[in-house]
Amino acid sequence: MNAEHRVVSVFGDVRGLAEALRRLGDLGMKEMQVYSPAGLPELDRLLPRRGSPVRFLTLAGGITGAILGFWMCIGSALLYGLIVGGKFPESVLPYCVIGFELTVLLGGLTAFFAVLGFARLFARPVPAVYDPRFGEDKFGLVVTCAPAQTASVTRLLREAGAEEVLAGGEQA
Amino acid sequence: MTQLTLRDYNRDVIAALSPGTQPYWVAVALMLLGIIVGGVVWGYQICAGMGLIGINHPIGWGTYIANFVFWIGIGHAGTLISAILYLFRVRWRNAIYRSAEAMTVFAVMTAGLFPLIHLGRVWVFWFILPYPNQRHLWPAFKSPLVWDVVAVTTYLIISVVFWYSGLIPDLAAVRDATTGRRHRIYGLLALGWTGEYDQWRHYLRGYACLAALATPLVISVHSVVSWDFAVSLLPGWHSTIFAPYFVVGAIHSGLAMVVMLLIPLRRFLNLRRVIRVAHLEQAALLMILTGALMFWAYAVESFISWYGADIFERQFAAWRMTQGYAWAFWAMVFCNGIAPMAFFFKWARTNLVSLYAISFLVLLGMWLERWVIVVTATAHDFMPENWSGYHPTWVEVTISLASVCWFLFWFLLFAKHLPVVSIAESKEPQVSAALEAVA
Repeated sequence: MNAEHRVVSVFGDVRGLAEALRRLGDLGMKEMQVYSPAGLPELDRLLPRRGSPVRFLTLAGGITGAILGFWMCIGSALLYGLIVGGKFPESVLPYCVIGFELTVLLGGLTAFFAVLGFARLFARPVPAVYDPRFGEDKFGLVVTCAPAQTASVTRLLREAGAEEVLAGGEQA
Repeated sequence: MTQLTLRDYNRDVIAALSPGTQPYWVAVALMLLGIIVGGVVWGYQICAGMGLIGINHPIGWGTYIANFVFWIGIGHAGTLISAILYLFRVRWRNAIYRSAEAMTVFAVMTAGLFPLIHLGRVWVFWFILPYPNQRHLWPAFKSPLVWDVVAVTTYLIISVVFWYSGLIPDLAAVRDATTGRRHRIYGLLALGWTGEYDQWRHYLRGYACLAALATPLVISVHSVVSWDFAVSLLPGWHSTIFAPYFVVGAIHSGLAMVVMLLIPLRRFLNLRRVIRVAHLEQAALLMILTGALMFWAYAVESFISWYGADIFERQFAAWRMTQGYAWAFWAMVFCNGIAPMAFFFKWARTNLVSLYAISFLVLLGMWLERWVIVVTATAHDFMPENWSGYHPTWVEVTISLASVCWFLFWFLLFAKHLPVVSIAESKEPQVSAALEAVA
């Protein structure tokens, strides 16, 4: 069994967290998770992750909404087929309002459900390493590493300014 | 003032969710009573018919439609403050946007009632919904009234989604601070939020997308509402200025409502440290801009009526400014265009009494504006033999007041059960500043 250890650390200062991430990155650590009470887009360059697909899905949702809006309006006009004054039954300009509103509606709903899906926000149980202080004023850093690296990671975290370090949680 | 710590935001905002006091529940009960009275009167109107209200040929739209436009307008500042200011990274937004978003949702819920009430036979409202049916009868998508249904419904759904998205991290903070049944309820609503980087990463992208979509939506919704009037040929309605004029007016009234709601909120929930006078001052400064734009719009509308040399438009404008409804017209010009100029003086925008009083005047003026637009144009159209007058009856007045109770009822419940200030976003400036310092 190729077991890995989890080192949980608590930082009171976000600068210490950033420093720890930088040094762990230099060591080649990839399995790291940060817990924070506020969004930290500044950490994007310190944590190796692929970009979020939420934006592309939102775009796809918006385009689908626009097509649906025009399709519904034009399709319903063609169903009647009533020619008035020799004009075409469909009238694209007023349909732009419906098309626009459905673009926003489907784009917005797609963005929302994409966030729920990718962030796995469907009332999943809170992980054991989560500390309620991470929602207040503390920052958590969980490093998954080989058992042989636990001591060096622990030392590094303490040097970076971690207030608490809990090492040894085993993860298969 | 000393800077709040990260924990202070949790402490202050979550403390505001402590069980309500007796006066709070009395206020909630009074609002509920107002809703019941309004519901009974609406039932009476349904049974007795639309003859109970003041509208009659040629005035087909009256106080109900004015109320609809007014409440939709109130709903605009919420999304403006939240979405547009988020995209521009305006930090004073953090203290007030949650309440403003809640105001948006409840105001749109209130607005949505009025077309139904005005419909008379409310049970046939579904005729306007686009659904596949055997006879291939679809609503006329060229009609501004159908645009309105689609735009307002979209606005309500996106506003609720945007509001709830912002709430998720804060609901988790409340979950962690509570026990028992409250812990379980907030835990369910928080959807398992832990503040992991991977959650924030997707969340921030999605939130920015929602803000980017909601921003043009704000502008489109009130433009569409204005086209209910502007695409007709009636003098006083048929004007290309209506869309920007309505959008600015909506933001103007919404800001006034935000100020009027936040002043008591910060006092009774003891949130003076989080919602500061400086935040209200920023809203007052924005009201100078929107008030000046309103005044400019009134001036341009009158100028074009004269300069355009359309005899119907010119006589209508002159009649509106000098005859039977002149009191309402000039009151609206004063309340919307002149009174907010007092905010040029710092004492007026930092004194809570003057802030409240001027915001109330703006709200009154904006309601009058909608009433003037709706009523006067239909009362004085192309044909002199059609000219008539309109006064709301007690039924309209009662239902209108009940709509205020409906709005306040939901807002009162919100104030004591959900975080009224964004805890997570209030912390971001501090955290970001610390990170930038080491970058």
